[in-house]
Amino acid sequence: MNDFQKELCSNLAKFCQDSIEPHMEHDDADGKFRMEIFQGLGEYGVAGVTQAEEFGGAGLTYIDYALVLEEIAKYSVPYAVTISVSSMVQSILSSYGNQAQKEKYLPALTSGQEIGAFALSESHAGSDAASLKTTAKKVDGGYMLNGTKMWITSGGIAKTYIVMARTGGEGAKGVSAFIVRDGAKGFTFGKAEKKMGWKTSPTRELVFENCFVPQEDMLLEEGKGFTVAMGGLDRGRVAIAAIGVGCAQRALDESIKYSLTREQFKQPIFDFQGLQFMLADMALETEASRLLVHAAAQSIDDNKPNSKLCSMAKLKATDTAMKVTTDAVQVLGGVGYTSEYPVERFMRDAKVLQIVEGTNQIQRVVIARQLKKEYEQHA
Amino acid sequence: MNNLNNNGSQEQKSKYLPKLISGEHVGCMGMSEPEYGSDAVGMQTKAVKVGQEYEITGNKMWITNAQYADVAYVYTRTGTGKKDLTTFIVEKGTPGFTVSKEIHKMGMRSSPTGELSFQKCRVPEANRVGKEGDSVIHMMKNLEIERITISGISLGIAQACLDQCIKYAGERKQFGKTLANYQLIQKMIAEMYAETEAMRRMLYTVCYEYDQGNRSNNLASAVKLQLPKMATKIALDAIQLHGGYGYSREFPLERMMRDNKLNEIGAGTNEVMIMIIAKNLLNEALKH
Repeated sequence: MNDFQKELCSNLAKFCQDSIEPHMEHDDADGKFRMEIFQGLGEYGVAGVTQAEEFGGAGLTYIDYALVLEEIAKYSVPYAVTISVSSMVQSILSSYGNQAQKEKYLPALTSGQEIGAFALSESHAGSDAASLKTTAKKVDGGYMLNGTKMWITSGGIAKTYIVMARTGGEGAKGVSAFIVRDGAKGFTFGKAEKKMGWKTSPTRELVFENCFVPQEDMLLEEGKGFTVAMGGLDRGRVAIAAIGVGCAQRALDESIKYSLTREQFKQPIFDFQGLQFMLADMALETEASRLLVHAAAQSIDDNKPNSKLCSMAKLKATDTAMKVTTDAVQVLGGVGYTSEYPVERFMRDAKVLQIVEGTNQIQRVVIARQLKKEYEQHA
Repeated sequence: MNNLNNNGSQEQKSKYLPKLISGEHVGCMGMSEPEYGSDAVGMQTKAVKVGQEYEITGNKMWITNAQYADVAYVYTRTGTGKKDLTTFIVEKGTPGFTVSKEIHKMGMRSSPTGELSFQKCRVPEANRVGKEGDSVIHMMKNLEIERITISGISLGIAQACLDQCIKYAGERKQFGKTLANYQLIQKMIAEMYAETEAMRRMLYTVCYEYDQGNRSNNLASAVKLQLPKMATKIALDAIQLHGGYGYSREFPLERMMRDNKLNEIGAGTNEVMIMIIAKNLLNEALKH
């Protein structure tokens, strides 16, 4: 880390300790999201880390962004996720939006006054996203949306939604992308999911019943929805990977702290070799994941996004988060299983990191596809 | 119950066992303390003889059924030696015996856990189980049984996860085909099956040996080390196979994973199982 990054992270850590940490145990039990915390992060300048200063962003690199997400995730995986999804919406708007769309929607997102959300999945279209059924029918002056979106992170708390809907025939080429605002007529929120973790980050259904979207709120043109959706994938994967690293790091920190103070058989449990081996492996996996995340982020900063590295980072860092948090509960034993210590919360929060932004099975498919491509290029 | 049946007097058995067996009464067992978990024999709760009674003082932590128990089976220290442990039967409502509020846990949420507190709690001598200092042997023998039986819960969880995965693989379609068509999914399900069967055969074999009267501290510990660990892996894989749905409460998988994690900690952690097996196997080697 350079001096700027060190300062950024240590200041951010202070904010998280003061403003996030005291709420997490209770808010996790109650499933409570606090807008003031999100806006506080926004005032801190981390709601639009990589966006251009012209639209209110901080103009920093993807490595800086990975460090920011890691730091927030050490205190709360769900708030880091809310930031990352909102940041992805900003990336989509700045890559594919026209000048008017950028000016209209970006500033409230980059400043953290509002939250952005991304709506692709449906009940039967998960990994197979191109089979989505929500329709957008051409009408005078715009489109009429009908259908239901599922698993939408920040559903209900976000103001700006990027919604994928079918304007043409089957498959990816029949899909278009729209900007829909909370409050649009015919746009309501369906059931809120009851989840194992990520409890302070709401996940909801979006319901569109004859919801009119004006022409000017279409991104690019008809049939370009998947260009928009896939364009954000590499960045989204690096973000989730960075959150995985933060999640693992916190679990490791808690394990070291506890094992040095807890005594059994008249010595700190840290002094047992079995514990030392566990902790060493946890630290090794976490550090290896971090290096992979930074390598993937560097490829984005170099304007040569490497899909293979981004998928590898997502796969490795989230598998590590699961393993390290599970081991942390084990290191803390009985108290680790209670909400008095944060490790069981981080373990529950880690599991879905292996599922979102392309399941870890899909990541393997992506990696294998890239291997074949590279081989054919060299042959 | 099992402990009482093996070690209690005829009077104690006829007084307490019938209602516990019929389910009219709930029992709990107090061994762990806030500072003595894996190192259970180091416990500090004391019982001091006063006339025809014993006075118990101390706290017991992580007690399953604490809030609902009519009868508590409590391990205490009655002497200065490391192994001077003695057990008492303490009835709910005995003056000086109180129970804390429920502890908020990751899983096993419909099974309450609490802390027992004893402050100069007087218990008649008739409620002492066996002789003074007998209880380390009681404890170890009972723990073996607990470790085997608790592993049956992990087997049930693994089987339920496997069944649910097979069902879902035949229902859920992605890219125009059911999940069952994908080799990755086939691998997950085949491995889950192999692991579940390995768990079942190991558990049943050891149970059979115990039924024949062939006890083995090593085998009981090996069962407890192996089954809960495999069930956590299987439950995590089952969530993964179900994707977003597996993470939601619509399916029981996330609950089963949370429930099973405790089996890697309660009744002796995985690490204590390793310690026991290693100590038994390396007993001779350690002398050199």
